Amino acid sequence: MIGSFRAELIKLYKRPAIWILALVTVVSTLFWLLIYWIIKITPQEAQTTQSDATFTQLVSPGNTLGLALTSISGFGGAIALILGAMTVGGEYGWNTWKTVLTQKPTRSQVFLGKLLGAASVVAVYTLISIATAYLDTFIVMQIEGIKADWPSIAELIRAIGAGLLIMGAWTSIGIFLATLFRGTALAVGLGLIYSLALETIMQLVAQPVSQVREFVKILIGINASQVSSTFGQQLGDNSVPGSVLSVSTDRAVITLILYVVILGGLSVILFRRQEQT
Amino acid sequence: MEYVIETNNLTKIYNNKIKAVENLNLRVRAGEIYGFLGPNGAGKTTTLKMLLGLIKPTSGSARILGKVPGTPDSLSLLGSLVESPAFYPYLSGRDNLRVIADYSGAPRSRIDEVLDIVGLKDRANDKFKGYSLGMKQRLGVAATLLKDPQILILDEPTNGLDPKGMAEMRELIRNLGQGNRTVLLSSHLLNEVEQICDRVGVIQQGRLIAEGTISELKGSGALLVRATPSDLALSMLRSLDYVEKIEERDGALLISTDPSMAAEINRLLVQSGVAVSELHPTSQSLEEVFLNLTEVNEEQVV
Repeated sequence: MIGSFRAELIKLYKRPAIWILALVTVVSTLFWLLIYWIIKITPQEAQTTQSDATFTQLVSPGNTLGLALTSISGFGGAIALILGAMTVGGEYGWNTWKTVLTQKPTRSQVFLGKLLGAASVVAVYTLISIATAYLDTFIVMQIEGIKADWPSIAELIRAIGAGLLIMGAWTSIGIFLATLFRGTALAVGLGLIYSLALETIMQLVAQPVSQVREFVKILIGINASQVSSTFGQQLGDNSVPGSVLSVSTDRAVITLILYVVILGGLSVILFRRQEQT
Repeated sequence: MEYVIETNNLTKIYNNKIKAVENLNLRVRAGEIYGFLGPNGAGKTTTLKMLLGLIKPTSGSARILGKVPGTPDSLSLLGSLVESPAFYPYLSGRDNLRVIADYSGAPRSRIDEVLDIVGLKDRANDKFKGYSLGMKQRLGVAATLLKDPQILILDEPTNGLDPKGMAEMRELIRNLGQGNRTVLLSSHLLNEVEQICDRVGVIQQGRLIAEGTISELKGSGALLVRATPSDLALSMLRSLDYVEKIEERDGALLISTDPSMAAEINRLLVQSGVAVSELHPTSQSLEEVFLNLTEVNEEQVV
C-alpha cells in the first residue's frame, strides 16, 4: 500500500486542479476580510446592526479559529467534495484504472492509497484555511490597532482535528459518488446539489416539521456546524443550544467519523466489485 | 507441455445476453509470440481483460503460469497494454512512469532504461497530453517493460500509427519477444500478425475458430491451374475425388488438393484435350485464410 500511496502523492502534487482548489481555500478564507472591509467603509447609519455585528465578531481578534472553522464548514465542505470527486473520478475519465490495476497491488491497496492521498490533501487544505484565518486576524488587528491573544496550541490542534473531520466527511461523499457514478461530473453535480440545496432545504423544513428533524440531524451540515460552533463565533449557526436542530458535540463528532468510515468502506467495496470494461 | 497462458472454457456474457467470449480454450506457450487474431468486436479485448483481472469471467477459468488473473502473483509476471494507452495527461512521460513504478514496485532506476528501449528519452519530460499517438503507444510499451515481465500482453499496439510508426512498433515487439519472454499480441491486422507471430489463434464471435502456426493455417494444399478450354478443365477436375474444392481466380482455377498430385492432374487434363499453360502449387495468403475462416464461421452461426 505504501507504493500506491506514493504514486497517489505524485499524481496529487502535480495536478494543477489540486493547487487551484488550494487557492480557492485561501480566497474563501480571505473572503471574510472583504466583508469586514465593506462594513468598515459603510457609513454607520446605513448599517443593519444585527448582521453587521455578527460579521464584525466573526473577524474580530480572538475569534481566529471560529473564523477558520466557519470557512471550513462552509466553503471547505464544497471544496472537499470536489476534491474527493476529482481524485477518484479522474481515474475513470482518463481510463487510467486499467493501467493502475494491471500493475501489482490489489484493488483494496490501490484504493486505500487513494484515500490516504486524499486525506493528505485535506490536511493541507485544513492547515491552509487556519493559516489564512490567522492572516485575517492579523490584518484586522493592524487596522483596528488592537492586540488580542492568539489561540493556545491545544485549541489549535483541536481546530485542526475538527477541520480534518469536517472536510474528511465531505471528501468521503465526493469519493463515494465518483466511485458510484464512475466519473467526476455527475459526482460533483449531485454532491453540490446535496450540500448547497438539499441540506439547506431540509433544515428549513425540519424547523416546523418535527418528523424530519431526526433525519436532518444525521446530515453532514448540521453536525459540521455543531463541531465548528465550539470554536467561537460562527455564521448561520443552526445548532445553538435550545434550537430544535441542535445536536451534542459528541454526537456530531461521532456522526462525522461514521461518514468517513462508512462512505470510505462502501467506496472500497464498490470499487473491488467493479469491472473495468 | 506447460503453458504460460491457459484458459479453460472461458466465457463472458454481458447483461445475461451478449456473449462476448464463449468457451475459449487458449494455450500460449513459453517464449512464443502468439497472435490473437480476430475482427473488431470478436472478443479479443474482453479475453485480454479477463487475463488481467480487469473483468471477471461469467464461467470457465484462466491461469497465468498457474496463477489466478488479477492477483499480485500473476500481475507481477505481466506487462500489458490494453486498448489505447491510458496515462495522466498533466504528468510528463517520466512522471507517469514514476507513478507506474511506484504501483508495480519496479525500481525507479528502470525508468531511463525503458525510455531508451522505446526511444522516448528525448521527450520524457514533456506532458503526456502533448504526445503524438505513436509516442503515447511507445510510453505504453515502456510502462509494460518497467517490471521486466516474463509475459507481455499487447492489444492492437499499432492502432492509429502511421506506416513508419507501425514498422517501428513491430520491430520493437519482435525485439521484445526475443529470448524467454512470451508475447500475446492481439490484432486485427493480418500482415502485422504474419510478420511478427510464431503461432496464431483466430477468434470470432467469442469463439476460437482456428489455431496453429502461420504456415499451418495457410496450408499448402492448393494448386493453381490455367488451362483452355476452361469449362472442359473444370468438368474434368470436378470428376476427381481427391480434389476437394475448386475456385475461380483471375481466369485461373484454384483447386484444393495435395500438391503432389500436380503431375497426375496435368496428365489427365492433357489427355482430356485441355491445353495447360500454368500449373503450380500455391498457398493462400493469411488474409484469404482469415476471410475463409470467418465467412465459414458466420455461415454456421447464421
